[in-house]
Amino acid sequence: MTTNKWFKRFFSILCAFSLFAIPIAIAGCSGGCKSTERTAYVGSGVTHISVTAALRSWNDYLGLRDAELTALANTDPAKAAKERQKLGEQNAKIKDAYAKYQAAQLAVLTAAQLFGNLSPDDPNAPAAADRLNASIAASATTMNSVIDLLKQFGVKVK
Amino acid sequence: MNTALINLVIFAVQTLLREAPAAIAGIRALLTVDNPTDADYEAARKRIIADTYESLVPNAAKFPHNPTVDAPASQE
Repeated sequence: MTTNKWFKRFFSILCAFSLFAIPIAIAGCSGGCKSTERTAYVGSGVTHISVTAALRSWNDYLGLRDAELTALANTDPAKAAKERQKLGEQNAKIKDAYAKYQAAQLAVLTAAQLFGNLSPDDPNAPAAADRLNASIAASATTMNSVIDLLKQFGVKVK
Repeated sequence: MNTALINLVIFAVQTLLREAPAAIAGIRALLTVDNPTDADYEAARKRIIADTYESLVPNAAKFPHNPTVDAPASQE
Protein backbone atom coordinates (compact mmCIF):
# COMPACT_ATOMS: atom_id res chain seq x y z
CA MET A 1 0.00 0.00 0.00
CA THR A 2 2.79 2.35 0.94
CA THR A 3 4.54 1.33 -2.25
CA ASN A 4 1.50 2.38 -4.28
CA LYS A 5 1.50 5.73 -2.50
CA TRP A 6 5.09 6.40 -3.57
CA PHE A 7 4.44 5.32 -7.13
CA LYS A 8 1.40 7.60 -7.27
CA ARG A 9 3.49 10.47 -5.97
CA PHE A 10 6.23 9.72 -8.48
CA PHE A 11 3.85 9.76 -11.42
CA SER A 12 1.84 12.70 -10.22
CA ILE A 13 5.04 14.73 -10.27
CA LEU A 14 5.93 13.42 -13.72
CA CYS A 15 2.43 14.22 -15.02
CA ALA A 16 2.47 17.66 -13.43
CA PHE A 17 5.73 18.58 -15.12
CA SER A 18 4.55 17.16 -18.42
CA LEU A 19 1.46 19.34 -18.24
CA PHE A 20 3.72 22.35 -17.81
CA ALA A 21 6.26 21.29 -20.39
CA ILE A 22 3.73 20.78 -23.20
CA PRO A 23 2.21 24.30 -23.04
CA ILE A 24 5.68 25.81 -22.81
CA ALA A 25 6.74 23.87 -25.90
CA ILE A 26 3.61 24.96 -27.76
CA ALA A 27 4.01 28.58 -26.64
CA GLY A 28 7.54 28.46 -27.93
CA CYS A 29 6.25 28.22 -31.47
CA SER A 30 3.34 30.63 -31.17
CA GLY A 31 4.80 33.98 -30.37
CA GLY A 32 5.87 33.31 -26.80
CA CYS A 33 9.31 32.43 -28.03
CA LYS A 34 11.60 34.21 -30.42
CA SER A 35 13.29 31.25 -32.03
CA THR A 36 13.38 27.52 -32.55
CA GLU A 37 16.71 27.60 -30.80
CA ARG A 38 15.21 29.16 -27.68
CA THR A 39 12.33 26.68 -27.75
CA ALA A 40 14.84 23.84 -27.77
CA TYR A 41 16.87 25.45 -25.00
CA VAL A 42 13.83 26.02 -22.75
CA GLY A 43 12.30 22.66 -23.64
CA SER A 44 15.51 20.88 -22.80
CA GLY A 45 15.70 22.63 -19.43
CA VAL A 46 12.08 21.89 -18.54
CA THR A 47 12.49 18.26 -19.55
CA HIS A 48 15.60 17.96 -17.44
CA ILE A 49 13.85 19.46 -14.41
CA SER A 50 11.02 16.95 -14.91
CA VAL A 51 13.31 13.96 -15.20
CA THR A 52 15.48 14.91 -12.24
CA ALA A 53 12.34 15.46 -10.10
CA ALA A 54 11.08 12.05 -11.15
CA LEU A 55 14.41 10.45 -10.27
CA ARG A 56 14.38 12.10 -6.84
CA SER A 57 10.99 10.52 -6.23
CA TRP A 58 12.38 7.21 -7.45
CA ASN A 59 15.16 7.69 -4.90
CA ASP A 60 12.58 8.25 -2.15
CA TYR A 61 10.80 5.11 -3.25
CA LEU A 62 14.00 3.07 -3.14
CA GLY A 63 14.71 4.38 0.36
CA LEU A 64 11.28 3.26 1.48
CA ARG A 65 11.68 -0.16 -0.12
CA ASP A 66 15.07 -0.55 1.52
CA ALA A 67 13.52 0.00 4.93
CA GLU A 68 10.72 -2.45 4.14
CA LEU A 69 13.10 -5.13 2.88
CA THR A 70 15.42 -4.69 5.84
CA ALA A 71 12.45 -5.41 8.11
CA LEU A 72 11.33 -8.30 5.92
CA ALA A 73 14.79 -9.84 6.07
CA ASN A 74 14.18 -10.61 9.76
CA THR A 75 11.18 -12.81 8.99
CA ASP A 76 11.74 -13.98 5.41
CA PRO A 77 15.34 -13.41 4.31
CA ALA A 78 14.97 -15.34 1.05
CA LYS A 79 12.02 -13.25 -0.10
CA ALA A 80 13.76 -10.06 0.95
CA ALA A 81 16.89 -11.01 -1.00
CA LYS A 82 14.82 -11.86 -4.08
CA GLU A 83 12.95 -8.54 -3.89
CA ARG A 84 16.22 -6.69 -3.41
CA GLN A 85 17.69 -8.42 -6.44
CA LYS A 86 14.62 -7.51 -8.52
CA LEU A 87 14.85 -3.87 -7.50
CA GLY A 88 18.56 -3.93 -8.31
CA GLU A 89 17.75 -5.08 -11.84
CA GLN A 90 15.08 -2.42 -12.24
CA ASN A 91 17.42 0.20 -10.88
CA ALA A 92 20.13 -0.81 -13.36
CA LYS A 93 17.68 -0.45 -16.24
CA ILE A 94 16.59 3.01 -15.12
CA LYS A 95 20.21 4.04 -14.68
CA ASP A 96 20.98 2.91 -18.22
CA ALA A 97 17.92 4.74 -19.58
CA TYR A 98 18.95 7.89 -17.73
CA ALA A 99 22.45 7.72 -19.22
CA LYS A 100 20.91 7.56 -22.71
CA TYR A 101 18.58 10.43 -21.82
CA GLN A 102 21.54 12.53 -20.64
CA ALA A 103 23.42 11.90 -23.89
CA ALA A 104 20.31 12.84 -25.90
CA GLN A 105 19.84 16.06 -23.92
CA LEU A 106 23.44 17.08 -24.52
CA ALA A 107 22.91 16.41 -28.23
CA VAL A 108 19.85 18.70 -28.22
CA LEU A 109 21.86 21.51 -26.65
CA THR A 110 24.69 21.07 -29.13
CA ALA A 111 22.31 21.03 -32.10
CA ALA A 112 20.39 24.06 -30.79
CA GLN A 113 23.61 25.98 -30.25
CA LEU A 114 24.89 25.19 -33.75
CA PHE A 115 21.55 26.13 -35.26
CA GLY A 116 21.42 29.35 -33.26
CA ASN A 117 24.86 30.41 -34.43
CA LEU A 118 23.80 30.25 -38.09
CA SER A 119 22.04 33.09 -39.82
CA PRO A 120 18.63 32.20 -41.33
CA ASP A 121 19.97 32.57 -44.88
CA ASP A 122 22.99 30.37 -44.25
CA PRO A 123 22.95 27.40 -46.68
CA ASN A 124 23.67 25.08 -43.74
CA ALA A 125 20.66 26.31 -41.76
CA PRO A 126 18.12 23.77 -43.13
CA ALA A 127 20.44 20.86 -42.33
CA ALA A 128 21.10 22.27 -38.86
CA ALA A 129 17.35 22.60 -38.30
CA ASP A 130 16.88 18.98 -39.36
CA ARG A 131 19.60 17.88 -36.94
CA LEU A 132 17.96 19.88 -34.16
CA ASN A 133 14.54 18.35 -34.86
CA ALA A 134 16.02 14.86 -34.96
CA SER A 135 17.85 15.38 -31.67
CA ILE A 136 14.66 16.66 -30.02
CA ALA A 137 12.79 13.58 -31.23
CA ALA A 138 15.56 11.32 -29.92
CA SER A 139 15.48 13.11 -26.60
CA ALA A 140 11.72 12.54 -26.29
CA THR A 141 12.25 8.86 -27.05
CA THR A 142 14.83 8.49 -24.29
CA MET A 143 12.56 10.23 -21.79
CA ASN A 144 9.71 7.91 -22.77
CA SER A 145 12.02 4.96 -22.27
CA VAL A 146 12.34 5.83 -18.61
CA ILE A 147 8.54 6.01 -18.28
CA ASP A 148 8.02 2.79 -20.24
CA LEU A 149 10.46 1.01 -17.97
CA LEU A 150 8.51 2.07 -14.92
CA LYS A 151 5.31 0.82 -16.57
CA GLN A 152 7.02 -2.51 -17.07
CA PHE A 153 7.68 -2.57 -13.35
CA GLY A 154 3.93 -2.69 -12.80
CA VAL A 155 3.15 0.98 -12.43
CA LYS A 156 -0.31 1.96 -13.63
CA VAL A 157 -0.29 5.37 -15.32
CA LYS A 158 -3.74 6.99 -15.18
CA MET B 1 -14.47 13.16 -19.54
CA ASN B 2 -13.87 16.91 -19.37
CA THR B 3 -14.44 16.92 -15.62
CA ALA B 4 -11.91 14.15 -15.22
CA LEU B 5 -9.40 16.12 -17.28
CA ILE B 6 -9.98 19.29 -15.27
CA ASN B 7 -9.59 17.32 -12.04
CA LEU B 8 -6.37 15.84 -13.34
CA VAL B 9 -5.00 19.27 -14.24
CA ILE B 10 -5.98 20.70 -10.84
CA PHE B 11 -4.42 17.75 -9.08
CA ALA B 12 -1.26 18.05 -11.18
CA VAL B 13 -0.92 21.78 -10.48
CA GLN B 14 -1.52 21.26 -6.77
CA THR B 15 1.11 18.54 -6.75
CA LEU B 16 3.56 20.73 -8.58
CA LEU B 17 3.02 23.65 -6.21
CA ARG B 18 3.29 21.42 -3.17
CA GLU B 19 6.17 19.23 -4.22
CA ALA B 20 8.46 21.25 -6.39
CA PRO B 21 8.86 24.97 -5.70
CA ALA B 22 12.51 24.70 -6.63
CA ALA B 23 11.54 23.26 -9.99
CA ILE B 24 9.21 26.19 -10.64
CA ALA B 25 12.09 28.55 -9.90
CA GLY B 26 14.20 26.58 -12.37
CA ILE B 27 11.56 26.86 -15.09
CA ARG B 28 11.19 30.58 -14.41
CA ALA B 29 14.94 31.02 -14.78
CA LEU B 30 14.85 29.24 -18.12
CA LEU B 31 12.04 31.42 -19.41
CA THR B 32 13.96 34.61 -18.64
CA VAL B 33 16.55 33.70 -21.27
CA ASP B 34 15.46 35.29 -24.54
CA ASN B 35 18.46 34.49 -26.67
CA PRO B 36 20.60 31.75 -25.18
CA THR B 37 24.30 32.55 -25.44
CA ASP B 38 27.18 30.10 -25.64
CA ALA B 39 27.60 30.59 -21.89
CA ASP B 40 23.95 29.63 -21.33
CA TYR B 41 24.46 26.45 -23.32
CA GLU B 42 27.64 25.65 -21.44
CA ALA B 43 25.85 26.14 -18.11
CA ALA B 44 22.99 23.92 -19.26
CA ARG B 45 25.45 21.22 -20.30
CA LYS B 46 27.23 21.42 -16.95
CA ARG B 47 23.90 21.09 -15.12
CA ILE B 48 22.99 17.95 -17.06
CA ILE B 49 26.43 16.39 -16.58
CA ALA B 50 26.45 17.29 -12.88
CA ASP B 51 23.12 15.53 -12.37
CA THR B 52 24.57 12.06 -12.30
CA TYR B 53 22.35 9.11 -11.53
CA GLU B 54 24.29 8.51 -8.32
CA SER B 55 23.73 12.08 -7.14
CA LEU B 56 20.00 12.00 -7.93
CA VAL B 57 19.38 8.48 -6.66
CA PRO B 58 21.81 7.90 -3.77
CA ASN B 59 19.58 5.07 -2.51
CA ALA B 60 20.48 3.15 -5.67
CA ALA B 61 23.65 2.09 -3.86
CA LYS B 62 21.45 0.01 -1.55
CA PHE B 63 20.34 -2.07 -4.53
CA PRO B 64 23.50 -3.19 -6.30
CA HIS B 65 22.86 -5.07 -9.50
CA ASN B 66 24.59 -8.41 -9.50
CA PRO B 67 23.57 -10.42 -12.59
CA THR B 68 25.41 -13.50 -11.35
CA VAL B 69 23.25 -13.98 -8.25
CA ASP B 70 20.59 -15.99 -10.06
CA ALA B 71 23.03 -17.86 -12.26
CA PRO B 72 23.01 -21.62 -11.65
CA ALA B 73 25.86 -22.80 -9.48
CA SER B 74 28.62 -24.75 -11.13
CA GLN B 75 28.40 -28.52 -10.66
CA GLU B 76 32.13 -28.99 -10.88
